[in-house]
Formats: sequence, C-alpha cells, structure tokens
Amino acid sequence: MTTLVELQQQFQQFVLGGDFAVVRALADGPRGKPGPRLAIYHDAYRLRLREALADTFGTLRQHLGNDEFGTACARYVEARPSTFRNVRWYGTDFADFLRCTAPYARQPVLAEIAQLDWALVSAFDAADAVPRRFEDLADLAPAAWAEVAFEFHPAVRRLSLTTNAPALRMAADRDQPLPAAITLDAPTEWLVWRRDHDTHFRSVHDVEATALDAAIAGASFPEICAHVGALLDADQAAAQVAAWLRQWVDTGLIVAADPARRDGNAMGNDTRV
Amino acid sequence: MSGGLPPALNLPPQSWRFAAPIPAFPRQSRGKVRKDVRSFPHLRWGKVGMGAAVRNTPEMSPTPRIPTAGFGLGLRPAHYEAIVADPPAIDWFEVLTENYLVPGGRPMHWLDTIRRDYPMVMHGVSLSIGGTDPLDREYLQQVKALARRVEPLWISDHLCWTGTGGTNLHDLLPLPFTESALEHIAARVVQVQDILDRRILLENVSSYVSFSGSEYTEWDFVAALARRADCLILLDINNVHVSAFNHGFDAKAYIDAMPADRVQQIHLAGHSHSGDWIVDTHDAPVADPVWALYEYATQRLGPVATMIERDDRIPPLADLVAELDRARHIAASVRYRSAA
Repeated sequence: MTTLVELQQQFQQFVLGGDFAVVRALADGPRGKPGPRLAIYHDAYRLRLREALADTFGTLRQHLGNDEFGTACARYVEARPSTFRNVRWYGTDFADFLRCTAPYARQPVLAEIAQLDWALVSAFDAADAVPRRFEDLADLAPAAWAEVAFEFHPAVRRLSLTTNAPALRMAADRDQPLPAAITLDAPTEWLVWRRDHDTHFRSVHDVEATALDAAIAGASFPEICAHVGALLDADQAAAQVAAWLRQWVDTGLIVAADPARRDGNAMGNDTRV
Repeated sequence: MSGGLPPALNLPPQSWRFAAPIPAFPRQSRGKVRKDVRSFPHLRWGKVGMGAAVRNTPEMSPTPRIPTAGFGLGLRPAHYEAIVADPPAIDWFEVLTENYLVPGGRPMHWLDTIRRDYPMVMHGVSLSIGGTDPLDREYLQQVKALARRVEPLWISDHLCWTGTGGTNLHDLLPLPFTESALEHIAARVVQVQDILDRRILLENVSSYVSFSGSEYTEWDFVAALARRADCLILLDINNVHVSAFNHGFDAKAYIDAMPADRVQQIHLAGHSHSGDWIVDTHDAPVADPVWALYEYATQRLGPVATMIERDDRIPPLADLVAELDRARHIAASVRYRSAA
C-alpha cells in the first residue's frame, strides 16, 4: 500500500514533471477519469508562480511583452521549483537566472531590469526603522565624530548597473512607452530607499557611491573621509562627506549614528542587490 | 550619471491577468495594535495534551467553539484606502497570514491602521498540516509573533498539504482520507496548537481529484479530525459545493456531518463552472447554489461567523459589503423562522 509520503511524492512529481504514476491512486469521478481534473493542479502551479513573478517584475513584463515574459517565467519555473513558504519571495533568484541563462544572458538589460524591480519590491516591505533627524547628529560631541559610524535604514539598497534599466523603470512608472534598451560604456551607481512607505530610487555619483558603500559597510566618519580623500582633493573630503551625510539624513537613510563598532561585524545590512 | 535627485518615484500597482481559471490561492500580495478599541479578550484555551492525538476520545473541553459570530470580509490591499476613508459596517476582517509575514513597510502599516478599528482573524495558506515534511517551526513562530501583534479572534489554515521534500507547490492539495492520514494530521494539529497556544481552525478545501484508497468520506474525516485533535472547523460552503459536484457526493450530507460545536467560521466564495467540473476561483460573486447551501448550513449549525472571500476580479468594497448583507439576511431569516 502506498504511504502518504509516497503518494505526495508521486503527486508532486506529476505537478512538477508530468509523471502520471499518481493516477493509479486516484478514483474516477462522476463524469470520467481523473486525468483532466488532475491537470488543473499542474497548470495552476505554473500560472500561479507566473502571476507572482508578473506582480513583482512589472517593468520586465512590459519590456518583453506578455508572451516573451511568460516564456521566461515558464523557464524559470521549470528550472527553480519553489522552496519558499511565501510566494512573495519566489522571484528572489529571477535576476540571477536571467543573467546566467541563454538566451536572456545575451541581453544584460533583462537581468538588470529584474534586479531593479526586485530591489524596489524588497525595499517596499523591508523592516521599519525610524530615521534620525539632522539635529540628532548635530548634537554629537566634536570628539564623537572621530569614531561615529552610521546604521542605514533596512530598505536601503545599492545597485551598480551597466544598462539603462532605470530609465525603463521610470518610464514604466509613468505609464509611458519604454525607451530602447542600451548598454552603457561604464557602470552607473544607484540607490533605492523608502521614506514614509514610499519607495524611491536615484542615481549616485561614483565618489558618493564610494562613500555610501563604505558607510553602509560600517566605516567611521574619518574612514569614509579617507576613502573619499583618495579620489578627491583630501582637503575637501570632510566637507564633501558632511554634505552627503546631510543629504542622507534628510532623505531618511540613516537610522543610527553611534561610535563605530570594532568587533569585526560592521553596522548596517547587506544592501547590494 | 549625476549626483542630482531625479523625481522620487512610487511603486505603481501591478496587475496581470490570465485567462485560464486558476484555483483560488489567496493572493499573497505586498500591500500597532491599539488595545483599547474593540479589542476582544485574548482567546486562551486549555492546552491539549499530546496524548489527545492518538486517543479517539470525546472533546477535551465542553465548549470548544468561541462564542463570537458576526460577518466579515477578507482584507485585500485593493480596499485599504476605501476602508480607512469610509469604514464599512462589518464585524471583522480576515487577513491572509502570509501577506503580513514580511519585515515591515506599507503592508504592516495598513494592517495596524485597520486593526485599530476592526477585530481580525488570521487565515494562512502554507501550514501544510497534511504534509509529510516536518512542521516548519520557524514559520509557526512567525505566525505566533504576528498573532501577538494582531491579537486575532482565531487563526485558521487549510486541511491540505502544499508540497513535499522542501518544495512548495503553492496550492491547497488534496489528501487521502485514510486512518493513517487522520492519525498523522491529528498529531500535527496538536503540535501546532501547543506552539500557537490556542485551538486552530482547519478549512475544507476544494478538490479536483480524490484517492481510491480513502477509507473515510471527506465529511467524516473532517469531523473525526476535529474531535480527535480538539481543533475547530472553518467550513467553506463553496468548497463543499465544488467538491460535491466534482466527486458526486451530496453536499447536504457533508453539512449534516459537521459537529456544530466545532464550526467556528464559514467561508463563502465564487467559483468557475467548466461543465465537467467546478474550479474554486474566488473571482466571482457567490453562486446561488452556494447561497442555498449556506441557508441549509445555518439551519443545521446555528449562527456561525461568516465571511466572503474574493481574491480576483476584486470589486469595489461596497459591492462586497452588499453581498455580505445577503448572508446576514439569510442568517437572520433562519433565526426568525426557528424562533417562530
């Protein structure tokens, strides 16, 4: 007699791979054999995951069109059975899949659109935290600036992109036709964040990106200045970092400013996507 | 490339429709409890001993059903703003547990905001109580933490399995109604109830296939499980109708077999009729045969907390409130007739 485990394995093998062994365990219905009704489960699995991907990767769907997007989703669904309890996370590896799988790998913009769509979705429901006000930092004693480091809001994400994926996303958000995809000569740096429950993104100057990445990694204020000083005039570095810091605080990126921890585990989160 | 700030952009609502009927699987979408407003007493219950799962004994306590009725709706992101702008006259909202197992952001904001004015019940889709993988204790702890935040009237999930070997098929999959499955599931229900520190409700699902090895009817299986595991029942009237058509059984016999003192909540929903079978799609108003079966269930079971589930082609909130009024009217008529 088939055990419950075996029965469920057979059922799952049908849903995932179309193996009909489970049919032997099924009863006929009042209007015929179970095959066509069993197919409901097979199709529903694919449609449901595709729908979850469409919810998340709206720009990519618009760029590819429904048919091509559906094909890409179908290939992802076949390649990556879901192991997520919550379907909301099913798109976690979609950008990586597009980056590594032919024919999508030949168009880097596809993975980058997916990367940006995913960053915005993950910022949307990232953990809450109360941003610090500029006055909070102004209250720091002058000596504290020698070792202060910054904790960033959990929704902050940093991206380096080599295509105009952000321009496509901006057009999609404005319900405008998407521009043609192009590959850039050099990577551009982008920042995703959330303020008052609204998700935003903007481009970041290369040097600001260096400062931002150091700060996110837990570098102290003097260390951030040292990173920037290596790229700009060292005399101006502190003033420039202070100006960026003001902007980061004013846009709600910073949730704590404390003496840098030296336990090897820097402040902040893994924000690279 | 520049350091300037382009205009900040909001996430637009996204939607993409498919033509084929997909069985309903409540959409898991992106979208602080004030304890002084319409707060219900925290629903504690005597712990059920582990032995309960393997003893075929009568109820552990005399009145398992929580004496709370009323009429509710499923909380859906499409209605968040309408609910806050013009709070509907309903008694509670049912929230999809998984929608709020996210770290934070707007979904949690809306949850807290609406919870201030309405009691809530939590309804999960991924417990996989009938599964054969070990119970996911991390998930259960997340559910428990969410319950601390929401203080739900009760917590429910489905009498089904959702995948095996670590895979999740994101569906409410059918079980064989055997003695060994009953024993297996009852033991798991007891574990879940011990972790969550409360009785849970399990919902009968729509099914499209059945197993030739079943030793119980579905209704006897559900009733036996509720008694053996000392849990409660979320009776989905639409699912009874759908499965009765698909498998050729008498829907009223199903209702008749339900232990009235354990049916805590009723679901109503729409479906899609394909001729040879019905698919539980939650994308249409409740169908007339389901209303008739609801009336029959209300006669048999007395007043039961009732709600309408809608997960696709979601109409304006007012339309669902009006549809819920039909349930109120039916329940009131039954009460009036029985009193007379």
